[in-house]
Amino acid sequence: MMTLAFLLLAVGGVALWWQRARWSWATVVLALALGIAIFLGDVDFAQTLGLQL
Amino acid sequence: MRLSPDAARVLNLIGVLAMVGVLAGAYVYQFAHQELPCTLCLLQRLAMVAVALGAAMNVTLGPDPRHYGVILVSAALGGAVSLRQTLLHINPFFDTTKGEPTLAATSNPPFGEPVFGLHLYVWGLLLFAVAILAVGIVMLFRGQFDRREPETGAIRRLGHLGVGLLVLMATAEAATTFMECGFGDCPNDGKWNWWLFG
Repeated sequence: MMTLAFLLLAVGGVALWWQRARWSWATVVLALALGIAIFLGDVDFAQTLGLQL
Repeated sequence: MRLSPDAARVLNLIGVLAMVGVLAGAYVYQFAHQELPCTLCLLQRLAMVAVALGAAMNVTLGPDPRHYGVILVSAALGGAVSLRQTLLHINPFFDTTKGEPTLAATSNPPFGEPVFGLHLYVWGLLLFAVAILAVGIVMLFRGQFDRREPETGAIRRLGHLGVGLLVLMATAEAATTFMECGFGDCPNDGKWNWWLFG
């Protein structure tokens, strides 16, 4: 999932190089959504404030 | 005071190059200390690449409030991750397996070696805070969103260089992340055990 998120940003950068605004927007939004999902999955909400590895 | 579109592009390009430089520094640290980044560390790197991409959108497509929005959302995500990691390690007398305080000093050691006195996740928190502040300051100036001013050739060439470096960095991050984590969860022990070479 993390690899995919970085790949999406790389694709977004390539799209930006070629001035493909829509592709750039789509990939950065997807990458950020994936990043948020990974972060929320990492936090253990069962514990108080998730302060546990 | 007015900020021209080209001046805004140059400021954003400086931001792109600064983020690429920080990510390159993280690689130097990673290989010098032979410490693989944890999941939260990789998320912070992801947020840095996204911040740089938002700035690169301003450089390539022209300054736009929506591009600054990308920077802010990315910096907010990165700041949240950095803050979480800082708080996880802020108390060395906390037993994370039991979820309770303990007098054993090494029960919750900081992750990684400090750089100039601060650990990388604390530096990350500062960096994302600076990015948010910088966007706030830049957005105080009008004129940069005037699309009637065409981009100069030199700015276009420099912009291409910046985006090219960003693409290289994002691709390198994807490659090393895959080498470290493979198709599963990323290791969080900081040891030099790559999935690909395991």
